[in-house]
Amino acid sequence: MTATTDTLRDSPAVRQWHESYQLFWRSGPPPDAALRSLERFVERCEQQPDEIVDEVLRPGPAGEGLMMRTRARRKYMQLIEEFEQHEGSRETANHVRSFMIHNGIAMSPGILR
Amino acid sequence: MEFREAVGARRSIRYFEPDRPVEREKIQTVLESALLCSRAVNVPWSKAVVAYRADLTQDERDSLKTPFASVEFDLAPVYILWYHDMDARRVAIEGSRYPAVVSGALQDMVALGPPHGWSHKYVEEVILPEVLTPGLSAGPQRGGNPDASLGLQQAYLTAVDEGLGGCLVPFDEAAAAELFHVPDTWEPVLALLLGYPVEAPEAGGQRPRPAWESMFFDGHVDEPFVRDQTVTAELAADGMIQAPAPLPWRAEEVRALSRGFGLPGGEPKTEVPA
Repeated sequence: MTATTDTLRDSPAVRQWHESYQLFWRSGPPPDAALRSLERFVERCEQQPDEIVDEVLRPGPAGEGLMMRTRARRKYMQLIEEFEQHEGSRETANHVRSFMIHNGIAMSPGILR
Repeated sequence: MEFREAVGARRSIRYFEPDRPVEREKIQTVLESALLCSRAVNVPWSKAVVAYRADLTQDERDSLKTPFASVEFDLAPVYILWYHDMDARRVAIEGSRYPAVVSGALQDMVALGPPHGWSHKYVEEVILPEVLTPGLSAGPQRGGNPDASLGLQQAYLTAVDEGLGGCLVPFDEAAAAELFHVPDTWEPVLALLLGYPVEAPEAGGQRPRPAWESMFFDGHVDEPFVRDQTVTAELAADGMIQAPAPLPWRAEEVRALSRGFGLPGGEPKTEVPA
């Protein structure tokens, strides 16, 4: 399944990303290039943004809060690293990491020096 | 740096100069201050391992990371992994180890004596069997973080006084045990990451705290301890109370630092739509 930029914008996970991003950075939403990076990533891994978030964060047993699934988080960290290699761009991969982070999935790449 | 300023200037620094080493004498000074911390019954509860980022492979560094602290391990040149030695009490008691209370050292050095009701006999026949020995048969017990943390906090403030930045983060216990040969009687507390800050020392400003009146009380808990504003002003003048976060330039500073290290958030700022 492929997703277009417009349908991505309607995704709750993408809306969450944009709202959280603007709140943190006291700025406008992520640049359009960031949404296009996410679009290419979700096409590559054949998952919708909401599906990715739901795979990593599951409701807790008591129905309150979310539990992070360590294995799923590692899987997407690896997929994003591979995406970075494929695209040849840290910035592009960081767009996807930004999407994950603002949806509550902590991650960071190694530093560039 | 004066003491009040060191207390006020302490921040959780998360951006370090990764390739600027910390002088060994500064690390020793940090550890010396921890050695002098207050400690229950003078038992050495705190233990620490100094590790250097440059000596570890990327895989070894990655193994120490947790979902709560990651990139900090790539940036800080020095890690001091702090532990609570769960076996410290048993070792002190069974060996009457000097200078723990059980050895009678505090009486010998006239630190704790009859004016406060303490004598050798009190230590040997009351404190030792009734206070310190019970529970030993259960083996090493977790939960001694408060005792171990006294040294950690002293070390942290000393690092600030030495011009370093620091940050307390959790670390992966199993990975650290394997990498640094840590005995299983040591309970992890936190890692004190140290280095020279690449961010401004204000780190965006002093972090807000809960309302003073909700924390400190005078005589009984229905009566908040009232602040004297003259004292508050003096502490501000001395640097203990500093400008609160967020300082207006902080978001741009973090954006620039992120750009420099290739971290998320380094893209150019977008404008708020009209």
